[in-house]
Amino acid sequence: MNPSQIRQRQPLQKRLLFTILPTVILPLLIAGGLGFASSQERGRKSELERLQSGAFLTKQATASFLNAKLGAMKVYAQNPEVRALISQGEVQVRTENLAGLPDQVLEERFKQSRLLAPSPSVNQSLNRLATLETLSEAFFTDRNGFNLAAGGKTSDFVQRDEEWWRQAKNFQTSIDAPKFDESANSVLFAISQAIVSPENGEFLGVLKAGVDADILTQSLRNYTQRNFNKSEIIQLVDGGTGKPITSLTEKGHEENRPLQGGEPIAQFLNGLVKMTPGDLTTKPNAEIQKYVQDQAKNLDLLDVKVQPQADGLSLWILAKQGDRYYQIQTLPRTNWLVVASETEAEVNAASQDLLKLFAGVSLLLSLVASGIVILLARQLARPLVNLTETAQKVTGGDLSIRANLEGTSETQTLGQGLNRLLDQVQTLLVEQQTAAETQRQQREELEQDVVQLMEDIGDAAEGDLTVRAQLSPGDVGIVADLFNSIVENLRDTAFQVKGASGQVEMSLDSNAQSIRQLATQAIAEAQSLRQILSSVEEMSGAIETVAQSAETAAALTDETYNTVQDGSQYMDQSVESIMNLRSTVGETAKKIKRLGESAQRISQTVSLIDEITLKTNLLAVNASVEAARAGELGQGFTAVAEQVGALAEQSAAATLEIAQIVADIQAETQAVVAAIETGTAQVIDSTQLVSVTKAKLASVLERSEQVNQLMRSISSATTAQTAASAQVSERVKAATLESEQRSEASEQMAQAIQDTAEIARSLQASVAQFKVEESVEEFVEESAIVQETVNELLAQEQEIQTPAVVA
Amino acid sequence: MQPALSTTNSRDRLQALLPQLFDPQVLVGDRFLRLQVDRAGTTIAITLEYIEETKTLTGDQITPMPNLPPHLLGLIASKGQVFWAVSLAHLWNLESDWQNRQQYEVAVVRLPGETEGENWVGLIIPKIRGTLRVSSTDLGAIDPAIACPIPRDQLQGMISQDDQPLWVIDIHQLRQGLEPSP
Repeated sequence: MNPSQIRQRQPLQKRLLFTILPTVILPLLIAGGLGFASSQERGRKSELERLQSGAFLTKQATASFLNAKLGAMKVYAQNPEVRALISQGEVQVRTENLAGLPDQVLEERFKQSRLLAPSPSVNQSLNRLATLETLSEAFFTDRNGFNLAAGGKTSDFVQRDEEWWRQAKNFQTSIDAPKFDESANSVLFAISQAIVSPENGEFLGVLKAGVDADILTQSLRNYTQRNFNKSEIIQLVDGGTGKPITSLTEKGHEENRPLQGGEPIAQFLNGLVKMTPGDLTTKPNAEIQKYVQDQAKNLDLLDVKVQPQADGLSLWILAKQGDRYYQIQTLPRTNWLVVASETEAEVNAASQDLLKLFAGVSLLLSLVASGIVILLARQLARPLVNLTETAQKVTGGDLSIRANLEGTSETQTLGQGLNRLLDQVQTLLVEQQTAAETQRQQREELEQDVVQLMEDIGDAAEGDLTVRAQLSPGDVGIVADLFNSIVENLRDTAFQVKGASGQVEMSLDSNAQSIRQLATQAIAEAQSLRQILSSVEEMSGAIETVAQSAETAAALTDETYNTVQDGSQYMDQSVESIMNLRSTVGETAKKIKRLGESAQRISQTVSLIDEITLKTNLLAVNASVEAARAGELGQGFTAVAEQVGALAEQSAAATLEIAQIVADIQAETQAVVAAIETGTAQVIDSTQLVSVTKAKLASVLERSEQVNQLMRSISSATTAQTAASAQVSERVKAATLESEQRSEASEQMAQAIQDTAEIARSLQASVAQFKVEESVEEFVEESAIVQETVNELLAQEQEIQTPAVVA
Repeated sequence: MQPALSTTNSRDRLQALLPQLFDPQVLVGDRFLRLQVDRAGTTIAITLEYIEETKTLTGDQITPMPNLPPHLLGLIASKGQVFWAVSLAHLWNLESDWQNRQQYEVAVVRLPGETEGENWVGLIIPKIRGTLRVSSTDLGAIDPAIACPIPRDQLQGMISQDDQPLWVIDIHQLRQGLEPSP
């Protein structure tokens, strides 16, 4: 492992920090995050529930306010004075038949007081009711909608066409949309209560009064004194107009504040109040949900439920539009709704404090954990870092240094090991220096011996074989001894070469003789090969002749084959014409049979004519008899009857003749039929014969095909033979050429051997000139040349002899 | 034919077609009915005076009776009369093939009675050959040289005509020949 690799790795301390720290801090952060998420959801839900309870409280307060006013009106209506006035009015209406008159006529008639039967005491008691119950403009009508009594002057006499009147008649109560009344300088809304007979529940009339919206607002403020959030608004809204009746905020109540959420919310509320009070009780929950869903066009519905209340069913809706949450609740039996809203930011703000707490605690715990981990890492890493520094110094060359033993037991053991290693390395270095000194001395001695030896044998390199090396003890002495023995051997070899060169000359002479013989033999061989060549060519000619004959035979066989094929075709044609003949004969037989049938019919017709003739004859006889009885008068008739009889007799003879002719025809046709049957049988026989012939022809065809193939194979074989004989002749030619070349070569070789013998002779002469003691080296070289030449010659001869034997 | 088409009266048309009917000529000689009685072609002649009618009969129109001689085939009815059917071939032992025929030819003859009125009899014969008018000069006596298959006592005479002899029956003798049997 090289140092650069070590440097790339992280130090132990850093490594400890980076692995342990995340495992401690990550769980802390996850736990904090999960806790925050669940608490935030819970906070949001409780805030929305708080908003809902505000809406509910407002709604209940409004309902109880309205119930109190309507209750008071209901009790007032049971006043005996009032009941008496109602009864009086009924009598008047009945007697004057006012109920059936048109409204315009009635208005004209009662335009003075606009009361059916004005009663000052009842009007006064109505005014008192208004003062006590903080109402205004109280009046009531009878069951026909005609005014009976009023606190002030009313605008109309007939009320039966008014919406509030009809609604009160049908649903007991009616609450109108609020209107700004200029005279009172305040917002007013009218409430109507049906007057009902307590005895039998009979409808008697309607009592109507105005209520100041300020009084309602005041009452609501008293009821709903609670902590409002900054953006929280609770509004009591008339669904029909979409205008708020009163708005409650953090600052108390606000007059003339527009509806929170504007047009989308107004449309939605308008849609909700279009449901009749009966719908909520009768329709299934799913249908109501669907209706509400359809109305919610520009807002997100979060929750819809139908909540049972003391005075009927109420819709509770949670929706979101823009940046606000809306809690909407309907007031049973009215077009009014309570809308409580709050911004999304404020709803979510409930959980902001929790986020801060969780983040703070997580941060603190993370810091403490980090401190502990760093301290621990530092303690663990310090002894190892010291050891590393010691090792780095040793690598730099300082072997005298030793490591301090500290830290855990493992690091101490590691320090001890390092120290022991350093001791051993020092001992080894000292031993190595001693051994190097001894070796140097030995080498110097050896060099001196070698120089001496070189001086002794230097002349030998110049060819002086008489020199001898001085023998000395040691390795060099052994080398000198070896050299002396080599020079001795060289001298002996020179003597031997002198003798051998003489022998070589002699043997060369004899070799030249035998090579000449060989050349003669080769010439003879070439001649005989020429003879073989001529006979092979003759044979090749003969084979070609055979090939031509075979081809001619093949052509002849082809012709035969074609002829036989034509014959087979003609045979097919004759089979076909015989078949045609057969069908023609069959046709003829049929026609003849039909002729026979016709003859049969003629004979039947003839017998019919015979019958008629007989009858005619009898008639003629009878006519004659009758005519004879007539006496003189029948004379003429008798003549006619006789003539008829004669005609009948003639025709009988004629039919007899026809019958004879027909019988002849029938006999002849039968004979023809028999002849045709015989003919048909013959045709069948000849068809069979032709088929047999055809089969035979087919076999002939097959045989000729085989012959054709055999001829072709003979032809191809002879062609192959021709080619082979040509090849043989080629080979023989080549062999002749080769043997001629060989005879030439052997002659050349004989010449070469003679030349060599000359060289050997001159060599011997030159060796003889040398004195043994001095010319051994030269002789050795020359004799080596001679030996090589001889070897070459021998190899050539061997080469020449080997192909001759093969041929 | 033009006159026939121009006349509207049926009598005129008949007169145009059969002039001899309205222009009676006196024909001389007696009239006979010729009857072939066997397969060989033996022909007899009966004077037309005694012939009532000629007709054909099927086998089931002859009602057979028990215990009769072979020439009486049975009873037949015609023109409100019931009378015997007599086979002349059986009576005279002639060769005939009429048994195999589906219909018979019959000549109804009135046989003159001696005491009471006339008796009818149906002569069943193979073939009715038609009528013949013969002058009294042609009617001659029987030539004994010519072979006759019919009993001589039944014959009145013979008529030589076209090489073939025509035997004239004596009707009274025929009646007597039939008499004893019923």
